[in-house]
Amino acid sequence: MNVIIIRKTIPFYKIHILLIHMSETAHEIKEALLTLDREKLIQTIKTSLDKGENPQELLSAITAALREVGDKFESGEFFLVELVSAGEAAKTVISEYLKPLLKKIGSEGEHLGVIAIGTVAGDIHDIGKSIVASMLFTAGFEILDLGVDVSAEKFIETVTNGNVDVVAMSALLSTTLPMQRETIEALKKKDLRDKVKVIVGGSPVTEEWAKEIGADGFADNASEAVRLVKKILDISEQ
Amino acid sequence: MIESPKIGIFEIFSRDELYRIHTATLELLERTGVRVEEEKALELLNSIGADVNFSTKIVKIPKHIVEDAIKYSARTVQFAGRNKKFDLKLEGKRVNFGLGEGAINILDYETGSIRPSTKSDIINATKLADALSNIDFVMPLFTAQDVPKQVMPLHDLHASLKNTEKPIMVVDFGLDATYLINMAASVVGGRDKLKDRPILGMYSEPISPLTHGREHTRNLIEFAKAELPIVYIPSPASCSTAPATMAGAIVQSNAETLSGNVIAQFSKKGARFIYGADTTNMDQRTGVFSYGAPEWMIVNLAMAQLGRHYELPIWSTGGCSDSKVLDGQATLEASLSLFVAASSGANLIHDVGSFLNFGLTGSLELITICDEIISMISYILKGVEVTDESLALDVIDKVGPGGQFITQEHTLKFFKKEHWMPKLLDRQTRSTWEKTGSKDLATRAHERTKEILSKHQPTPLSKDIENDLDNELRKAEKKILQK
Repeated sequence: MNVIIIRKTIPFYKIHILLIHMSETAHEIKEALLTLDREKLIQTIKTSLDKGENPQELLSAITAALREVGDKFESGEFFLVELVSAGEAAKTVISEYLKPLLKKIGSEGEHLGVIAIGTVAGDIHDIGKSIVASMLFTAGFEILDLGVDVSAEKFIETVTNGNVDVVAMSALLSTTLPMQRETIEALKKKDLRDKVKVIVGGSPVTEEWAKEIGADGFADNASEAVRLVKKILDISEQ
Repeated sequence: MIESPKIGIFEIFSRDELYRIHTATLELLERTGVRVEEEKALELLNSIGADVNFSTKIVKIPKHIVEDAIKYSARTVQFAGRNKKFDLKLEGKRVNFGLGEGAINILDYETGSIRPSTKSDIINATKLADALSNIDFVMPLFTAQDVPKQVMPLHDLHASLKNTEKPIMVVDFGLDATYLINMAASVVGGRDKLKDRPILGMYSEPISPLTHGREHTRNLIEFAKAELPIVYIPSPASCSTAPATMAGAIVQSNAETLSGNVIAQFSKKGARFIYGADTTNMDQRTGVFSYGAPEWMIVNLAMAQLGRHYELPIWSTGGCSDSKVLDGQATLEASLSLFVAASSGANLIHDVGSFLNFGLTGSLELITICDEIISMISYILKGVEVTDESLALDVIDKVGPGGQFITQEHTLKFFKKEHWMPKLLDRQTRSTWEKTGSKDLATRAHERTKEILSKHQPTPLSKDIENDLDNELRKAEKKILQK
């Protein structure tokens, strides 16, 4: 079964109902995502909501479909631009149509954990960080993308204000690499280091560097980053 | 070095296509513009009539400004060695080869393992490049992972200046370029002398798509004013930081490097700007920035053709690979990229023999192998000399049908000049090869590398100059680490 619930537990009977009622909608959502048909996805979600279907259940269907997209990427059937494109389409419908409704009923929706991700201060390289963010989102995590040139203070503010599980920092320049260390030190000073896991990445980042600065892990590509986050959060692969 | 390749230069665009790429580039710069993060550059661009939005930092550049900047550019760039005999003149179709830069690991041949690189690895790569006759300029192939990261580029340059007499190109990595210039100046006797003997060039990059980062732009201006060679070229990956279509990726790359040239030329007319692009594709399975991709090779051809049209010195790439080890893939990708880059007529071809693992791992043995590949390519691109004597009608007539040439004067006179001799490639018969240890290319390259490193002593700096350089390094380190 492809439904993973960590933070917001849905009672078992609800999942059961969800699976019966949603089968047709879920099928359409899956088809739209697997064929990268953004319009169809939006249309399906709109129609389902008009019919009064539960946004929580629609979200579960999207999560399940995204997981399949991820599996297809891992097996080589899907390419990176397809993976990112499916992720973006899902993100749009979730944030535009489902999140506002979920908020009204006081639910955050389900996810595997919250990742605050950004490229460190002084560095404006975006693409690597964005691909990792997209892959983590597709895998079922909630992403707080802080963008590029992110100061230690900004990371701290985000950790202080949210339920952040993992801080993920990217750096492409050897001269901005030390900002990863500074951010970790800043987290320690504010007594926040033990509250979150910290992972680092970027072309000049090595395993030795990650150890030296006291990060919880390092990955040299986006798929590895997903595995790493699951490992450090103790989430079993399903 | 290939002084003037005789063979027809490999060109991919028709005149009409070249014109469309050029006009599309101008349209892009006028319509979309570029983002410039450095305040001083924004003011400069505003003062010359570009359309500057100071809050979004978007600069739209009218085409006459782009074309004026091309006109102001140095047509010939002198790139000097510490020793005059290694001076390079970057112009026309003179092709020169140099190392790659910035690897964070070394493939240790003896243990077969990959480990973080150190300053002593830079010293070895530099010494090797100093000794090999087909390497014309040096870049610090490795980064010193054993010094504080903030000052790494200083140590990269420090190791290079001490261990080669060939021209040196360094990457700024966003560090204030003044420190680098001061270090090179200490070797030639001051900043003014450095202008006449530019032994240092800088490699820096705009950030694709269409962004001139703060530190990189500052360094671009700094180098332009110091009248030193500047390679300022983008590294986009098609499908992620550039369009999926190669023509689109080329137009964007062209706009990125040419808008850099605008900043350089209006900072200092005649700035020694070197044009090009390190544009490749993002691999669709792994997301890596591929170093062995044919997409990169075709961009090299495109940029060389455009650069020649603009009459700018041209930067290019070859001799690198995505492979993790020194294997068939490594030599295949290195050979093909070197041949394509050389046959484009580019003036500075970097990444020679250095890069495995998409630029993250350097290999000394691959440098030695590439020296051999370049030697072979140089032979081919020199073409065939056609003279009365080389047509050899007299000797053919003398030998006649059924004779032999091995004992002829003509053969003795020409065989060395007309033929290429391998230093590393194996042409032994099988039995001799087996008797001498059945060594493959990688093993032979390793033995040759070791031999060179044990024998070759680069001409050292004089004691006084060495002291000055060391002082300059310490001063810079102190300043940066105090911040």
